Amino acid sequence: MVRETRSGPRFRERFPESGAEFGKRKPVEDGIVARSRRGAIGESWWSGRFLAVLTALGVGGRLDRGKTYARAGQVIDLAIEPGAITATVQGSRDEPYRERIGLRPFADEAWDAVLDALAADSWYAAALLAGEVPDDLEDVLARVGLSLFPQGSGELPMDCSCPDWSVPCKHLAAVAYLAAEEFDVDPFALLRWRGRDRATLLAALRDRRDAGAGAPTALADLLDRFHRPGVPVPDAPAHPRAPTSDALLDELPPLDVGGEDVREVLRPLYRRMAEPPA
Amino acid sequence: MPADRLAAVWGTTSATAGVAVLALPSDADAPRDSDDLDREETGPHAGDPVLADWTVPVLELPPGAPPPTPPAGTVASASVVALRAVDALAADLVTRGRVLPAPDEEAPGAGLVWRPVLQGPDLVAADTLAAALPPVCRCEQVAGEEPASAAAVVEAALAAAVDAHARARLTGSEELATAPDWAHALGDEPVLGDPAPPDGLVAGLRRWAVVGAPHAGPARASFRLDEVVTDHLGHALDEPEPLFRLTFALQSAQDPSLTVDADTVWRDPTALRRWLDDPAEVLLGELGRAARVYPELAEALRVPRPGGMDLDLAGTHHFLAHVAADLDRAGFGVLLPAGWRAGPARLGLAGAGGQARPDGVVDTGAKIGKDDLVDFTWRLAVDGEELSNAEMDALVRAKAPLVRLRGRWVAVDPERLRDGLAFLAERRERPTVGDVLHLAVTHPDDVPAPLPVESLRLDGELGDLLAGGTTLEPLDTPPGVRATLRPYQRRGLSWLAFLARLRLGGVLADDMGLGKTLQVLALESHERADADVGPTLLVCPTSVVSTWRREAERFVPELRVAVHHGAGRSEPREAADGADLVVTSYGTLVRDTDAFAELAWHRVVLDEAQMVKNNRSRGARAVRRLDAEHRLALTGTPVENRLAELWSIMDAVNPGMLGSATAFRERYAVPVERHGRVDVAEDLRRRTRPFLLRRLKTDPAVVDDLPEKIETVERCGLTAEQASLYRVVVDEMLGELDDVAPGIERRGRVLAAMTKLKQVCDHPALLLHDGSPIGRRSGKIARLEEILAEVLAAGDRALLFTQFAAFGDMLAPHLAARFDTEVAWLHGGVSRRARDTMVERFQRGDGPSLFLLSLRAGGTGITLTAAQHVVHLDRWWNPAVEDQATDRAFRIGQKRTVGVRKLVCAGTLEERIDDLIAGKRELADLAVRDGEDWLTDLSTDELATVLRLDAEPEEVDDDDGA
Repeated sequence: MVRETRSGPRFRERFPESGAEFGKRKPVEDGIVARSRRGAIGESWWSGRFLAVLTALGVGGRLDRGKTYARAGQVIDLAIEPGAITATVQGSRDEPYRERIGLRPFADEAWDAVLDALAADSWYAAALLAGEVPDDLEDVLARVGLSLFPQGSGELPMDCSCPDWSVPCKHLAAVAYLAAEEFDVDPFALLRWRGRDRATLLAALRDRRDAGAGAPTALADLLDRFHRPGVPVPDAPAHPRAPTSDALLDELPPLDVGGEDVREVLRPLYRRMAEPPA
Repeated sequence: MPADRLAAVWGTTSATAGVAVLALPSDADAPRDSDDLDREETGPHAGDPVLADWTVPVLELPPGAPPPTPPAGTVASASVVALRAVDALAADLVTRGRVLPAPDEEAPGAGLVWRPVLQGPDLVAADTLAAALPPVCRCEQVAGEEPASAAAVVEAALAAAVDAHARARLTGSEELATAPDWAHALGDEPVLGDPAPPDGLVAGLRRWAVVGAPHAGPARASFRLDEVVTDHLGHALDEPEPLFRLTFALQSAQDPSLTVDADTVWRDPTALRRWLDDPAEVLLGELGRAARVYPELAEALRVPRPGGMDLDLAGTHHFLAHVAADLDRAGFGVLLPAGWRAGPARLGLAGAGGQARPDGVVDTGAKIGKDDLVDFTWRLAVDGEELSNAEMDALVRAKAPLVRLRGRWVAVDPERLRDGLAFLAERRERPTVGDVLHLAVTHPDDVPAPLPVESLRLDGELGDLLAGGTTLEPLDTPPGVRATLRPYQRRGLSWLAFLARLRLGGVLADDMGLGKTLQVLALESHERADADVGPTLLVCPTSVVSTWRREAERFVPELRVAVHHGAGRSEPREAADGADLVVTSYGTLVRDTDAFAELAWHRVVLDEAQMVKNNRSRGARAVRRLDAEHRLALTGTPVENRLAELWSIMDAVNPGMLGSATAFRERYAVPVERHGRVDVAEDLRRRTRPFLLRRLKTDPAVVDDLPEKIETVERCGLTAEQASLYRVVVDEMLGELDDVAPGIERRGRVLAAMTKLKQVCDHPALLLHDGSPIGRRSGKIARLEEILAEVLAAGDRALLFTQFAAFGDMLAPHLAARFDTEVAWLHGGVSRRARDTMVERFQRGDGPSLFLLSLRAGGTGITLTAAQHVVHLDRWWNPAVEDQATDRAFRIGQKRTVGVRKLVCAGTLEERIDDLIAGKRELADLAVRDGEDWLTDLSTDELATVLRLDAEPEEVDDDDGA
């Protein structure tokens, strides 16, 4: 599975440690900056559902400070991987903090059931491909006893290497906000967190959809129309005569052979071929 | 059948005999016959066939060779038809140059082959061929190989056929013979030298193959709406309601003609993957995106492989009326059957009716009046097409406002439909003729209907009127008219009489020279033939007051004409008393407005109605105060192109009909004049057509009626200065003659005096030789300017003849300045070369529009057929001389009617000579001889009669119409 990161940030050249002042966050160059500049973060209903789990923890001010961190670009990198969102966040100490927000991936068998359901109803894939989590996706998951979103903080183990005892701390909150923004634009990221990235998921859907299609139908299954065309044989092409038969050559890059451009060698031949034999 | 016999039957020599293993549907003992085989001893089959391998003798055709033509009397099987179609596609690809040379990968380093370049529609064609390929084409079993797919069979056959066709066309050609050695590998001839392609060529051609690889660029979803008329078995549907299907498809963004139905995407995703990375994912993503615009779509996606959705009438209406346009805006493809349209259709009203006749009375000649009732029905019109009763019923009953109209389905807006139906239900009472005609001119915004009135059809005379009046039954020339009306004039009279009966104002805007005066006089005569009608007030420019009087006297002698004009005029009431026609000038009308306004007029006729084009002018305000049963306006200028002027004139004859001036400006003048909106201009023309009659001399309906030339004598007034000078000259001469004995001297005096008098008629300055300015000192020049204004406005050209070179010298710069146009002036002093240049430029059309000629210099020998008008500024006593001059414009090559005007000052010797030449009146018995000699033989008393001024000077009103 490919580890996807949102950006490839570099640590800022920092001043000597003696210059660092405790309690004050250190600026980061090329950090991930939240797109949202004010107000709430997480436009879509699905990132809203994810953030609601955090809000329910009632850590109040820490979430706001996390939001400020996210907007200030304190998050150096962030990756949403099956089972965990990992990130590094620059706090007030020299050493950035390491973050992890865990979420239990669906078991392979559970995924199989989910994919079967999704393949049977193209609406889900269509909506996901159009950048949206269909609002009834939860129902599909519920039928196999699953939920896309954590049902509470118990399903959302969070770790930060900072000394703050609160969970989430502002660093974790910043990571959560940026993850929510990622979910907004790419609903597949949410599914990746649950264990299947986009390519894998689509390939699995394709396999299910194409089952029986694509592979040539066995001749034995075609005995009833063995000598008949599948669709009417199309009539002979009736294109208006192309104005120039050598137009294709103009699309090609030059090709020098023996000091001659192959395109120009071919041009008279194309014109000759344009004349069907009488 | 042994292979050699097969070859004989097919008549092929290029095939070789061989053996192949074929998997065929079989019974226990033998393969089954093909469906196409027509064998006599066909027995019933026992049970279903099974697939079994058979080793059979075969004919092998060379690679790429098409299946040979079936022998006579046999029918090609479907498999042969399919393979021939593959071959046809290959030949077509070669013809269009959709092929590329490639290294032969079968035998690396050995040579080159031609490969098909499948892109866009060609790709779809190849895929269709694969879908069509009968399974039997895949029946060959090759040990150690998977059974080939249909796509693979077609691909291989196409590649082989393309290579064969290309080689066949190149072999033996001069082009190939002169190509470098390596290129000979592209034909069938042996390659000279090293058979392996040169270094770099193989690698280069592989790079090229990428360009030629199948691709269709980015794709989008498209939606195709069809009416479902047959079920999947091809039987006609027997549904109570029409059924529609919306088919999903993938469409290439680069080439919209490349469209692949979703069902094909699902059926064979591998084939499409050759040109689109993830066709299924692209399609699904597009459908998901479209569902945001069209939420109903989501339901149709709740299957594993959505191919489309069925729509009922309501759904189809919704799609056509709203969704189609939304999808199009969002970047999706929408395909509707030809003639269908996205968005709601234009809903309007169409009115139709005819004259209501009292029951049992079959009097088709019944005269209709403005307040008569009309049998009138409103209907709905969709996109301008009137609905039949059945179509309206269907629309009312339909669950959704979707109507089948002339073979296409059209969605209409339900609210507008409801409003329209309510309007139809309300309009049960019959309107009057006036109501209906008013409706025809009123702008849609002012019509109290919820929908725009799209069309108005009326039968009978009313219909003729709406169509422009030219189809009305022409009236005969009234008995009181001393002239024979031409057919178009009888149609004009009919139109005037019909409008008059309806008390509707009209604008007669015929080209000048077509006889507007005569038509109006005929109308007056027609109305007075069997009824007692009050006086008609005719308002015209001062310069034509006397012309009107004379024309009336000449054409309708019974008409009692009173002129109310000039310094010694009486009260209007006195003038009107016992008169049929009162002629006055705009200037006098303005001065005596109150007195005129007190009288009840049968009709007001506004001649040269462009005088009231400024509706705030005193003239226009005075006209509006007049109390008349009927109003007519006459104008010769192309009023339909000057919209403000058109409004003023229409408002003067039909007050309020075209709405307010401001509204008119917004609705018509600005769109037409500033934005060049042809449709708006046409709409205005349609609305004003019943009340505006304009015939051009070039109209086919008129041109046949016209003589080759139309001669009119234009009577002009004298200014006070001219009149007093005229009297002085006459008195002086008569006084002198008493002292002179008959003979040469007397004759010389008379001729000199006559020349002076003619000069006075032209302009006082000619006599005075004082070089004084032209000013407004000549009634003749004032009239000339009016005539020329019309000529130039019509884009015509005119010849002006005078016998006085000095007059030409004055006039040429004056007219040039007055009309800001070039005026050619040909007189005796112009060199022959300069004359030829003038004539040539005038004839070519890039020179001056006005050509002034002295009668002597220009009267003979030259051709000036580019002129449509000839004006004789002064009279020459011998008509032959004038005719000769007129003939400059009227020679072979002239295809239009030439208008000839002779300007004559009323009450002067000019007029009397004119009468004389016309062979009329009191001097008719005098012999007319060449030149003016005969005049000199008259006695002094006789001369006094001929020359005496018999008219009051007419003031040239400075404030005419102002």
